[in-house]
Amino acid sequence: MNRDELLQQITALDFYIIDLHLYLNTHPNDGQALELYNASVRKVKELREEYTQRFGMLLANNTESRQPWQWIDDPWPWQRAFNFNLGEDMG
Amino acid sequence: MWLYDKKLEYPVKIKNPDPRMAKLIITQYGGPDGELAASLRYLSQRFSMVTPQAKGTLNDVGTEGAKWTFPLPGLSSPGRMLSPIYGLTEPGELPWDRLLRTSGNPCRRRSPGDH
Repeated sequence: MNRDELLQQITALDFYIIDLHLYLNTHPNDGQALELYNASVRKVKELREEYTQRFGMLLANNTESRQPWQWIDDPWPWQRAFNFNLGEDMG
Repeated sequence: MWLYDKKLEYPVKIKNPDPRMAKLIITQYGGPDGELAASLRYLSQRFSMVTPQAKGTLNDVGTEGAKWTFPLPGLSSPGRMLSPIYGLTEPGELPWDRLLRTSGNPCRRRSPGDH
């Protein structure tokens, strides 16, 4: 996977996880939703690990950095260059 | 208190810069009826909740609301969105002025439509 594909998968899974998280707050006994949640968390952990190794720090905390300190590297999420291309039909 | 994730929570596509839309969105941040005030209310209301479901939901929805601080720089990609706002808005109309103001009676009975 290239950087854009990796970032897109992480973004999609993270959003899915937030939604499941909020749902589970009010439906804590929904075992099927909880299984989906756990599987998604495991998957995104792997993908985040790979992203951090190859393209730099995603989280400010509990993340190792190469020399020199990588956190301040461009691009930042509010810059066009950071984000993956959404294509024409997804606007 | 917060952990910064160096990526967007949801992708944004700016097809065409739209200063009027940007201005509208930015007014939803601050002020007594804005998202930041709503998120602080959720985070206060959680303290008086009884059930685990309500405590968790208000904690997490308040957290989601607080994340609204981040689309602000998202709108401000240099030369794209925010600068047209400043170009079109008189200082007295800037939504920031509303951030320090609160409205209505703080002790009033809450109505169902309130956040």
